[in-house]
Amino acid sequence: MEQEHFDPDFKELYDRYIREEQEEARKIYNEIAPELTLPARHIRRWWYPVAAAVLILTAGTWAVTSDQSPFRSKPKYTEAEVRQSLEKTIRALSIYSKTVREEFSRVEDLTAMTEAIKPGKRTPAIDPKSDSNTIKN
Amino acid sequence: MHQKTFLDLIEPLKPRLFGFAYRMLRNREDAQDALQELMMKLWNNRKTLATKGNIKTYCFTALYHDCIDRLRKRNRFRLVTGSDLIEIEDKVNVDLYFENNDLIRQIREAMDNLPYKQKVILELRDFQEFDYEEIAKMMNMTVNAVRVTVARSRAAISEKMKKEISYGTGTL
Repeated sequence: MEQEHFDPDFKELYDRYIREEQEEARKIYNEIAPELTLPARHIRRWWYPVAAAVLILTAGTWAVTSDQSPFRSKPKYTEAEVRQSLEKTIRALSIYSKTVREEFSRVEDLTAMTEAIKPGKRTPAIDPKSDSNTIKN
Repeated sequence: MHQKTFLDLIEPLKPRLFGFAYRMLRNREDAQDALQELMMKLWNNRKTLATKGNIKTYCFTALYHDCIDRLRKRNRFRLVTGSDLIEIEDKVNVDLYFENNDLIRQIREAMDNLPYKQKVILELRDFQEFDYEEIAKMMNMTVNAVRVTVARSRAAISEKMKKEISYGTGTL
């Protein structure tokens, strides 16, 4: 190092100062060096088109094959499923209508009975001479 | 420029660039940020980097300008109008590293208290070992002006140290 403007006595001290400064900076640099990174080290340029291609392929495959895909049109029910469903419905309805009919007939009987025991309507007096009251042997 | 070529070119310079930024800013985090930003800038301009001439000179010049901007933002500096010198207004912190070494600490203080441009020129000459011609190009000065600045800076430090020693604060 050219230090022509220095006192010779001082030169040695100045050289020591420079060495110590450099040593200190080197020590700190070694500590921070792992944090000094370029993005290029982590994300290489060829990754972008590859990642884009993989994404497009995945999305495309999902759109074409997935049941949940809104882009995929398929019949909701097969003919057999519709037939089976109709049969079930008819069977259920017929069972239901039979039950309803039975319930109605019961209601009719009840109505007749109610009519019969309506207050104010006299029940026919029992005629002791009547044949209908006689127990015939 | 290929990534490997770029890294081969820049990696060996990084410790020296960090040392420069650290001594200019006297702050570890700021020096780290300055170096990181320089790396990003170089990477983004890697295609035109070959046309910049001497990469080492280019890096140090860019870092020097970045350090000035940082110091201005820190509001620790004032621009001395007319003389194109930037001086440190407040006293710099002296690292504990030199606590037990009074003379070395005093040289450091003397160096830090030099006008900023003188400090940069002395750093480029004595620490980074640039030629006078290279420094002149980097600092946009004449070679003779650089020589004079280096001589004055060294003399200033030497005189200050002589005074300190004569007051009995240390021995050579």
